[in-house]
Amino acid sequence: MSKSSARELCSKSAAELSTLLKKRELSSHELTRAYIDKIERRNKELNCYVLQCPELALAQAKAADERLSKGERLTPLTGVPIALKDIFITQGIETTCASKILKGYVPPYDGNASSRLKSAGAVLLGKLNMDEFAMGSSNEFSAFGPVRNPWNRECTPGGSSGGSAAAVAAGLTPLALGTDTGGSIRQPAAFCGIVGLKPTYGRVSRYGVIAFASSLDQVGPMARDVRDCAMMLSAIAGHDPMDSTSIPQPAPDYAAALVGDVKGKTIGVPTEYFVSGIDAEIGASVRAAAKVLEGLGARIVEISLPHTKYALACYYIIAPAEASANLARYDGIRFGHRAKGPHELTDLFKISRTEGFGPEVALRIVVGTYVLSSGYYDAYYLKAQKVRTLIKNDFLDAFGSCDAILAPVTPTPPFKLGEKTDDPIQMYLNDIFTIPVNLAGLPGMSLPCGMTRDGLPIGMQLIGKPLDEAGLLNIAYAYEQATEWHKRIPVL
Amino acid sequence: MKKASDIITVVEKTTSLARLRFEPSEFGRFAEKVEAVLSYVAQLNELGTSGIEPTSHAVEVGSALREDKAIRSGIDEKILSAAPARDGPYVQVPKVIDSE
Amino acid sequence: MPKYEPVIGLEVHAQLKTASKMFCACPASVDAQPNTNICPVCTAQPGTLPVVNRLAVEMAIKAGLSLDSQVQRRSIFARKNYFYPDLPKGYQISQYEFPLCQGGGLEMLTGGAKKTVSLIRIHLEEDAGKLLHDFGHEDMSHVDFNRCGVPLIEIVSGPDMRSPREAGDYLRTLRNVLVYLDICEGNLQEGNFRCDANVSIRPVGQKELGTRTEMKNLNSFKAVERSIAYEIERQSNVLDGGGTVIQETRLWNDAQGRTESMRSKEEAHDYRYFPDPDLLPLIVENEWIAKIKASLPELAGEKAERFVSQHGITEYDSLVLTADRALADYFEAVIAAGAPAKKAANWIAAELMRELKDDERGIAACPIKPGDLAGLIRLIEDGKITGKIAKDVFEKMFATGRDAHDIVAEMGVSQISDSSAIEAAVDKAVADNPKQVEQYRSGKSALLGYFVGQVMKATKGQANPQMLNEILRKKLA
Repeated sequence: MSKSSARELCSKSAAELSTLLKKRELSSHELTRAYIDKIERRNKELNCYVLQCPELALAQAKAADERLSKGERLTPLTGVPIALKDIFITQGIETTCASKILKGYVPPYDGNASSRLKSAGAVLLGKLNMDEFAMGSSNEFSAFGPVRNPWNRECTPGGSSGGSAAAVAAGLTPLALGTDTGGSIRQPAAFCGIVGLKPTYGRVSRYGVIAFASSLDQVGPMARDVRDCAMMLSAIAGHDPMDSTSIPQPAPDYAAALVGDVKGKTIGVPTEYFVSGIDAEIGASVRAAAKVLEGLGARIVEISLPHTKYALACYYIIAPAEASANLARYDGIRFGHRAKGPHELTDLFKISRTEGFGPEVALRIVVGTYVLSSGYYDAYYLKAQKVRTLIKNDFLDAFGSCDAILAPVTPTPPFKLGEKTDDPIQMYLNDIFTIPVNLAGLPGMSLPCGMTRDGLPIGMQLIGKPLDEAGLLNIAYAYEQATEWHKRIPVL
Repeated sequence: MKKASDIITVVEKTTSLARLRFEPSEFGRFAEKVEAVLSYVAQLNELGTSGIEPTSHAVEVGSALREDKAIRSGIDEKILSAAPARDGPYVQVPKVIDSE
Repeated sequence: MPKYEPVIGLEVHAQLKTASKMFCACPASVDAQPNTNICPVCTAQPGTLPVVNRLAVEMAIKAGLSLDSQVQRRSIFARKNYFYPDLPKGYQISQYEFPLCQGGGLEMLTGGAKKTVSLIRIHLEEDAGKLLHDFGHEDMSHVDFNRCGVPLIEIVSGPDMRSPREAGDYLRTLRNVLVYLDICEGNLQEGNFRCDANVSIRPVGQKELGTRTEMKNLNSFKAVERSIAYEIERQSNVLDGGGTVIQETRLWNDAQGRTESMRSKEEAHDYRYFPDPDLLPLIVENEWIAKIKASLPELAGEKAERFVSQHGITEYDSLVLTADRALADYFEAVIAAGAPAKKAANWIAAELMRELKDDERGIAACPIKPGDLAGLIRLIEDGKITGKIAKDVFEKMFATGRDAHDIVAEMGVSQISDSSAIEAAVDKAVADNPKQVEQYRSGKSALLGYFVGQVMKATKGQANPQMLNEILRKKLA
């Protein structure tokens, strides 16, 4: 296959590829080969992939081609390459969560997302880099080196699903799966100029997702456009009896919901998201997006989410607390890293864990342990849970007067590598607009709506009512079809 | 405002409780970061929350109960093979003196 | 007058007899090769999640209903966080602030009287794995995760017991209730029914409780009673010596017959309980509770009342007989086989219980089939053997498991109710003892017993006592 046609393939949307595959104008083997070659050439400079599995991918492609030629059990993803953030448990394939403590860990079981995608006939290209245990907003806290933003190598791609966002933006996979606990899909999607969606809490199963903060973690698709995002979401959404928090309602066909009509929709713009230090270009882009939607027939109203400024503090009590318990299982006993020296049990625990965890993870574990400990629980953890109720109610009240909310995703454009790694609070502030959505358990998505003067992507956020992913996708699709931002790709 | 020595003690105790350990040279900087985060999150005390129910669960409704049917996983050996120290069918650990 | 009053509370952990574990589908069975009943969930592989076993909840509700405890409509699972090799997640899923059941009470017979021990709560939790130490490795221990995740209920009593005996009786009664309901095997030695004891003492008359210690490693009912007795004395000595009791956990050393302080830990446990975000609040609607209630076997209290009204036995006997379901069933089987209720109650409550006294298996260890006991009682009722002989026959029945008829025939102890045979024996006794006859006739009526003895001796105890009495009086008059 010529290089140019391979390049073409790697810039087509997943929906297009799916059509070509079904028409047999393209084989999955060819397509997968094109991606494997590109990854081989390009991954070093960006460091998106922590693990590539070309042999497996080609074998899966071959099996997919069989299905396609027989017309058997076809799904929109059959034969389409995908990549998974290394937080997803993949049976028989090393899964590290970008941590030394899990280096070499090969899961004995398959997670829900991985097995659904396998059944759908998707082809796994590899596992994607991330911030260790999903704790980070820049993918600089990975044990396997930082990921670079394809739009500017000196900048971060965002995090924690930085590898996923960069890989999609750079055309190293048509589709990726990420997770979002405080913005980890939406923020990197914005920084890399792609589409990322965090579903309603419970919409997608967490079984097989290495846990960070159980009441906040959600799985979501990352893609180049809204239709691809909808396609991926349909493949993974739905009830799972292995996850007690999984919502029993069946998921609709999200791609079918993309009518692109926003006439009569009311979209709220929260006052509190446009104060305090938001970058001027970002503010302007998001307001311009509002105008576009207005032009398409939507009504824009000002709404208030009064407790917004407390969301970050609330999150940085609840998330570390849950994480401190979720990460207690990494003790060197049944799997993962065990320190060589210690002969005494407590020492074994301490040294194994200290050797295995990075500094940001250690920081959050200690903060989380503290806020749960005797004497502090009421003042911190219980208090934060009450504030969480206030934040959730802000949104539910707001939805009394609008169908969806439009907001910025990040307060700043992509920042330089190393700029914020030494100051935890500065780093955390990246997520002030995304965190409230996780606390409220609502669906939220990010899609490109502009570029800075320096040629870096700007994203806009849409936040929806519980289980209204279809509504969000529809508004996003209408905006996307009326603009060109999604067509821009970084030069590699 | 906590005294510097208070913070060090608290962070030491909490770090030990979390089964982590730092080199003395790194510990000071680590404790500073912990304190920075704790100070930041303490702003929640500005908010009155009396009468507000805590959100203890992200999903409140539903009943995810499983029927009592025993199913063998069939992957005991795979699970055990991941253990860093093993003796036959057992996982090995340094001798434990006290029972819980 | 004792100086100190002991105050005892017991915490019981009972393994529930479900087929699968509390939060995963692994078999919950005990007899298995090590590490063969494991899966990603109960070994805490990254990315796994718990799902609650419905039957475990049902069993816990059964226990709650039978123990008069309030089943809560909404209860919460909580994480109890600590690091230990037999605890894969680094936390145990338990219930803390909002347990499944609150309050309750258990009525028992102790020291011949009824006493109700209050219950504070009943909650659900999962068991930990097993740590094994005797493998010839001095510095290594072994972990078996089979038991990880097996469902437990924890039953916490109020500090209502005042003696080791009361504690033992409480434990036995509680065990019987759980076995009654078929939700627990109730075997302390096997470890599916465990007990920790909280013991404190206070000067008689003082209202405030003294400092308590918690005792673990109590592997039999005897160990529970002995350890409590020891601890009461130890604490008394401490106070008498002017010292103070330290709040701590102590292990019972059965071989040495003493409690020992556990090696001090660097820090006291801070379990950092918080609601488990992976599980939903447990909602138990009234319909479900009603359904479970309807499926309960007749509760001990109801059965006791029925025994009094239906079978006409005493309240005391009724309480003894209904304390243990198997015993109550045995009693009713004996009646069904034709024995009169009051007599059956006497034989079981007195004779049988005496024989079984030290056997922790209770009525399960009884070698006499209900029909055979009924047969023995019938022989007495029909006058075929005397009551005194019956006791010997009973002992033989207990020793051999054979039925009364066989044994009576073999012993040749059928009661003599043939009046001419008795008359003949009486005539001989009168003829052989003229002095006593004269003494009797001159007023020493107590000597009737002497003649009874003589005739019984001559007839090897087989003379029908009533008939003998009548004939003697007639002949001696």
